[in-house]
Amino acid sequence: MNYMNTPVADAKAVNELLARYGVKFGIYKNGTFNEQLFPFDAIPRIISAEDFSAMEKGLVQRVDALNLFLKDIYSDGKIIKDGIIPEVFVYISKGYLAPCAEITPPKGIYSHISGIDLVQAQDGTWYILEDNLRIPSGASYPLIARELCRMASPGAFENNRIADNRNYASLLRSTMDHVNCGGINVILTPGRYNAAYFEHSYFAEKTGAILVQNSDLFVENNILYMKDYQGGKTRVGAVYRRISDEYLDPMTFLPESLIGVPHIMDAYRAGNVAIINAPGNGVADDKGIYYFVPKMIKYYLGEEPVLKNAPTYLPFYEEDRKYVLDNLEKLVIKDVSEAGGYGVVFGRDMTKEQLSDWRRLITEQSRRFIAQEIIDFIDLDVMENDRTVLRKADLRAFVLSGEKTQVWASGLTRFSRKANSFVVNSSQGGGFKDTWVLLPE
Amino acid sequence: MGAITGININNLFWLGRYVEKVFTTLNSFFKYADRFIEGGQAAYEKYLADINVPDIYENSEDFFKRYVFDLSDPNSIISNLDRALGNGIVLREEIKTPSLSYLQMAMDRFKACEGTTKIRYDMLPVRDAIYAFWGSVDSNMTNMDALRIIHLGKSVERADMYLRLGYPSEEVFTQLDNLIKHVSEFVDSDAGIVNSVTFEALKYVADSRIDLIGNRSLVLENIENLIEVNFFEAAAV
Repeated sequence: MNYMNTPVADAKAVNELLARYGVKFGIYKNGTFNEQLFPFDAIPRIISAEDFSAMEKGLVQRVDALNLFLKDIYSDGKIIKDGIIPEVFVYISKGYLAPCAEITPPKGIYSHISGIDLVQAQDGTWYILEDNLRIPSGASYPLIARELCRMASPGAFENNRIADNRNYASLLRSTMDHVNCGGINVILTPGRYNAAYFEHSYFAEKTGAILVQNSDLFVENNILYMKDYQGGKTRVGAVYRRISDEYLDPMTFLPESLIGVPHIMDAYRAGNVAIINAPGNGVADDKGIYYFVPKMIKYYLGEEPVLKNAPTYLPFYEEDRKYVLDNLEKLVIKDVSEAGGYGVVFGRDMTKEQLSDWRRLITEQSRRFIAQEIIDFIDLDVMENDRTVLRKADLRAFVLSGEKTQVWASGLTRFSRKANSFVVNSSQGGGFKDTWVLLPE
Repeated sequence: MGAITGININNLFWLGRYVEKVFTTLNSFFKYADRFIEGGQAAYEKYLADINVPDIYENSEDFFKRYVFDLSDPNSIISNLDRALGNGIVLREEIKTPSLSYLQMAMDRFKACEGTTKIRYDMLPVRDAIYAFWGSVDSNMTNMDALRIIHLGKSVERADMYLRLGYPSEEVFTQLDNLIKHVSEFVDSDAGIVNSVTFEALKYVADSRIDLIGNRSLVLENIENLIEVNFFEAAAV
């Protein structure tokens, strides 16, 4: 492929700009916090208008179904009563939070910002790899990268018909405004030493929300307030929180949390503040629940899923367990409680002894694991020392649910920087690309 | 009035102070570097005493190297720039990304100068970036209260440093007048931010143009206590 119509020719300038604008992420290694640049590859992933259109339909359908699932299991639990999903996959999931039962979030939306990870197989089929409905991060990187690429390499955008992705902040803002219960929007960050702090501060800048830490907030009479430097208080109507559920409110969840806001759950329960995303969403992006999402789509929407799951087996079911044990060498095993690329092992990399150990573990703890066929997803060209090499890459699509469910016409393409590795996570050394969605002819 | 959190007030004030500290110390350091060209021993001991920095350096060469570039030396110029950048990073949404980028550029350029034999020339882009930072905050910030706090920090630091570094009295008085102007805005609008006793004392100093050399310690003390430390500490809790 000829990359002269992409920012490749100006890659050095783009990377200089990324450094200049502090596009970094933090990582803890051996107990030390280090901030580093997120390696950027100037060759974009390109998605045709037709491909995106189909993907868009599938993502909206999936996120709508997941929102309905969350509403259901935190109220009537019809999907369980109707035998579509076994109870054991819901109520003992680490992501299911009993204190959220019977709470209906403002406008009934649970997952306002959904990060759906996809891969494209060699035949062009897109597969859903994972749903992220808690605090999916990463949209800020392609957002700012696009801005900088347009600055450093305007020619690339003159010569290609690319959907402008710089509307993410306005989508985010309107999502917050839609569920706001009266008051200001704030972004709640654990602070400077969080891995995604750049994103927190950048979104605050771009949406006009106020970046706060827990000590800036307090609850009085079930209303959340931000205190200002003069001792005054301002009511908060929506909190885009970037801290995990368990740390959100020490009065409800982990009492030892030092980054949460005491009684914020009371304000939320009283319908006085929107929490984005809603607490308790982890039950729906559990890797075990992933298996059931196509069934959810049929159950709630009466539609066939547009996008496919990667072929997945649940050792919980005897038939699946037998298949997994017989075919472990060719499967990838995932621990349902892990994230970020951790807890993922490939059968093909195991010794005989390890395979035997894993068979025993899977048999003993069948609910803990899922097994998937390894999708030979396409390699993308990546620049490495002035030459192109092929590397595995996924795509995190961002779906925003406000007045309507919308897919951001872009996304975070993450790639592995190691040959033959399927692990693309930034925390494990991966890089990122911009994602170009082409406009229809 | 734009909403500002207590933590941000603290960071805004110290951002202004640290950026100004880097700028003023760089300028004064360049004067010493200039004297060093002909091989004369720059009196770095007096310089350190003036700015209240302990003399931990073995000789002039060590001072030139570590006082400028050693991040592990908490008094070095680069350490102060690091603190300015650290405050800037947590204020991106207030000062805006272009303003933060100038601090990042200043740091990147500063680090690239280590080992140079023509420090005043090579460091020019660092000063340019700081000038650009001030232009950027003035142009891009939308929360005027936040902007006023940064400038308050800057004017406190400048008056302090000019007096410490022995600038001519008229220049120091100009900076004191500027500081009083900035502080007056807070005296009028936000009771409790300013220590009124020290403020009145400084106004007297400025109005009567008293002998600054003879009263140096007293004036410095008043500048340092002008902004209620308790206010910032309390707000940050």
